[in-house]
Amino acid sequence: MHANAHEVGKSMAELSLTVNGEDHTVDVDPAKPLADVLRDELGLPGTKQSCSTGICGACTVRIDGEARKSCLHMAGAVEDADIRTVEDLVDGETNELHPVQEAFLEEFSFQCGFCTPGFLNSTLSLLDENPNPTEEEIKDALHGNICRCTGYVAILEGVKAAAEKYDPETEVEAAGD
Amino acid sequence: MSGAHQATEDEEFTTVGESIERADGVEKITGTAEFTYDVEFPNMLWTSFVKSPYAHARIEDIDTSAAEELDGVHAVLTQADFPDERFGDGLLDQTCLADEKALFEGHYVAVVAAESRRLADEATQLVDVEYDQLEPVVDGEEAFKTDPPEVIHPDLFEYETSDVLPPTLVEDRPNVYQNYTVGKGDVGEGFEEADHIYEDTYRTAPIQHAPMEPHMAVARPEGDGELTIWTSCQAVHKIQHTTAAILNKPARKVRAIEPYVGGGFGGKESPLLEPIAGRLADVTGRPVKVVHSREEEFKNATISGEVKTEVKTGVTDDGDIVAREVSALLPGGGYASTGFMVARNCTFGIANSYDIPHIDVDTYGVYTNTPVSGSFRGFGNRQVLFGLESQIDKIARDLGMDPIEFRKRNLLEEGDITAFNERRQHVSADVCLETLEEEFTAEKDDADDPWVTGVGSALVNKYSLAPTASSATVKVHPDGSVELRYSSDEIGQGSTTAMSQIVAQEFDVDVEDVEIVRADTDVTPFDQGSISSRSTFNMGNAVRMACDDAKEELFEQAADVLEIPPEELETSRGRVYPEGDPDHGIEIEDVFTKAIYESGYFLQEGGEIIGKDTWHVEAGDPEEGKVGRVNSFYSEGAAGVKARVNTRTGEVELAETVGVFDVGKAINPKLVEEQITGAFSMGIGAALYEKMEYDPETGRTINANYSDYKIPSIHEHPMDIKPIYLEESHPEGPYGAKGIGEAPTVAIIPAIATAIRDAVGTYPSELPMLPENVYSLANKEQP
Repeated sequence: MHANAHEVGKSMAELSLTVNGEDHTVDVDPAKPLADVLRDELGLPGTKQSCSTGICGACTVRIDGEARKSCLHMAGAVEDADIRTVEDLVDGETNELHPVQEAFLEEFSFQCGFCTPGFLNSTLSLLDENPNPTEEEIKDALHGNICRCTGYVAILEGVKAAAEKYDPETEVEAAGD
Repeated sequence: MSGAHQATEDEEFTTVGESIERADGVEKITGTAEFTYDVEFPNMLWTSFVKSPYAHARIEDIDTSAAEELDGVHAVLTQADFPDERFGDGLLDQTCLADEKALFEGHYVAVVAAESRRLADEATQLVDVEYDQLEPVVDGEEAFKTDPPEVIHPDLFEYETSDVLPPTLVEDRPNVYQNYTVGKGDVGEGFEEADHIYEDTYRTAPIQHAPMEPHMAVARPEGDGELTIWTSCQAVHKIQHTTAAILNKPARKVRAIEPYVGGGFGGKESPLLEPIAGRLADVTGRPVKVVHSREEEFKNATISGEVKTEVKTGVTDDGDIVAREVSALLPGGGYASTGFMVARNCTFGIANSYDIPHIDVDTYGVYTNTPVSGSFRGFGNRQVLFGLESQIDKIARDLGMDPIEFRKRNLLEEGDITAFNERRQHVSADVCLETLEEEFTAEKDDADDPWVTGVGSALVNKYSLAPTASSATVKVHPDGSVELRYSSDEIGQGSTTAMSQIVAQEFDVDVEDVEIVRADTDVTPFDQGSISSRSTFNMGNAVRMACDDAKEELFEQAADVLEIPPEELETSRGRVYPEGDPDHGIEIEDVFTKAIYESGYFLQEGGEIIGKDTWHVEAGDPEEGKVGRVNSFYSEGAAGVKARVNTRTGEVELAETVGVFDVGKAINPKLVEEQITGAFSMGIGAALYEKMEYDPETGRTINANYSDYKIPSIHEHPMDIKPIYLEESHPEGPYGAKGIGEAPTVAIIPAIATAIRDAVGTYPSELPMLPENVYSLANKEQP
């Protein structure tokens, strides 16, 4: 929940970050949480924070394919990683929603929407690894994300529907252009 | 499964009644939905608070000079920098920052605005505050005494109160900020008629709303003392009006805009950070953002305080309740906030379900040196009905009756007068209970040791507040699209979607052709807020009425073109035509005149096709001997739970959960089901996991974070939940609809408690029903 228009008395460094397939150079304190860098420096407000202590999962992004809490990762420690945020899900060329997004929309898997980017990233990370998860595997993958509105039932349905719609193989090919 | 119980009005539905996708859906799943969290401006300042380490302390001196000298710090404010007048939700006892005393641990003493959050944090360390510690009054029963250890608000009896539903003080109890009583008959006489008398005490725990987006506000100065404030709230007009009053500005000088809100649950209906952001913007001349950390949200936002409910009930051998005496103590924290109203309105849940000839209800809201208690999903009913419905189950079983049959036998019926002198109307408790009996057939069965199972149920009757009002404005565009301007807060419940459906229904257009302008007090008319399960009923009516008004205007304009009287016209799909004869009509565009230079369209008379209207419900405090309206409507329903309890660990699993709730008419069935499931979720948290822990000596909140305050995750949460809605058309509701946001939260808690009792043989009397407590219940010597 922090942002710093003007860092005082902190060591700044030039960092190279690869976010959503694009290389960026930012001049920040390398200890600044990735979540803040995404929001403040790179103009990607889709990543939310709700606790800033790694419990709630609202800030979950994908780092090298794994669901990771971006409030716990210092920007300086993810320089060589492939970082993906919710903004990466919509197909940049066709503007079409990702199958996981379509599934969440159809199953009403969110209410206020503040935790949703985190759930989407946790879901996608799961399905990329395990395209046909069991209910228990889904729960394990979403255990680090809190939703205060829905009661999770619709989220579970959303992930199941996403597993039906999403084929990681074809998506990887599509993304490889 | 879910389904309509009966047809509503004789209407043809196009969009209403359909589970169309959420109107805010695409924005929310692409990360583009704007929350106050995302509102930022160039040159914006960030803030940090100086907070009291003591739960009760006199503030002797505050030295802000060193902080002010720090490069990049633009303002350091204390309460001395705010206007003198106190504010509140009816009892004006509150200040923006701590005044002479800090009233709870973490209470804001000063606020810094600086170029960055980090710098603001740093500057708070340089503010020197001298405290004189006072004894913290942490325990509500101590605070309630006629000679409490400390009087928390020595000026209580001098504070101003609202004219509308003012609180009642108690002369010899100096910490009591509200005493509310309702009753009828003579309970003494009633208990004499009783064959059996049951006396029990129940306690709920303090819990926090924990919205994913904590409170936050951004204020931008607009020159000439004007402010625009973006706020994460759930009552935008109240926030605008009260913020202006707190800052001594005419209301028109403050514009409040509400982006999407990351959860409310009752916690965001009162001003908190908005006047602080506003004052800082005034002082610095720069946009200012004030945000809560999670810890600050736990301590400084309102919570729902613990409630102690004592209940004595007399019944006959035949199973008739003849007398009930209920007393509830609601420790309220450092300010009354909406807590004084919680103490009042919890009585409606107590006195509105059962036909009890002799009943007395007495509730007290009392100051304590703990976080401020106020509205929370269920508004007092959750706290008291945990005990009351648990005891109903106990009495029924003791008399050898089925608890649902016992409830049905004792229900207030259509036309009966309640203890608070209101006539019961549109009762659906009976139908809800009958449907629960049909749909919830789970039985206690044999489970493998150490597990045991049990089934439980509960009835709920959640009032929706009155007096109340909602207004809406509807504009018809030349392209046939319809714009709705309204102030319901989109806190996730889906009001944007439901209201779009109502406009689409009224104009017979696609929801894609409905343009929504949400919650901006310069543009959208008054609404009481997305509170008290009220939006569908109240705003739904206002939107429908505004649509009628706009259509009337449209038909007036079209009548001139078509040369047909306006009352003979109708509209559909962007056309206006004689009733039943769409081929002889015109496009809505045809009532407009095209301007030169391709610069748009205008009306030759009347400016715009605008419709507007207000829906309001008149009501007031019940009067002795006079039957009148007290509330808007009642949200009735019942829940059934089958629980599995591990007798060795005290763990509880909900194997099956069924809810039956009457919504009058489901505008969007999927959203209704989601409200039931989501409200259950919040009740499950309160029932089994959540409790704010205070150090009894110091009053410190010791678990103000998500690691130590347990919100159910997907692993703890049951997945077998069956939300069933009934459609017992409410004659005043839009298409018969009424609200559903809170009732399930209230119902599920006693349903879980009675299921646990059925499994282990002993009734829980305290929340949350943590494994250690349930273990004790399961391993208690049976009497």
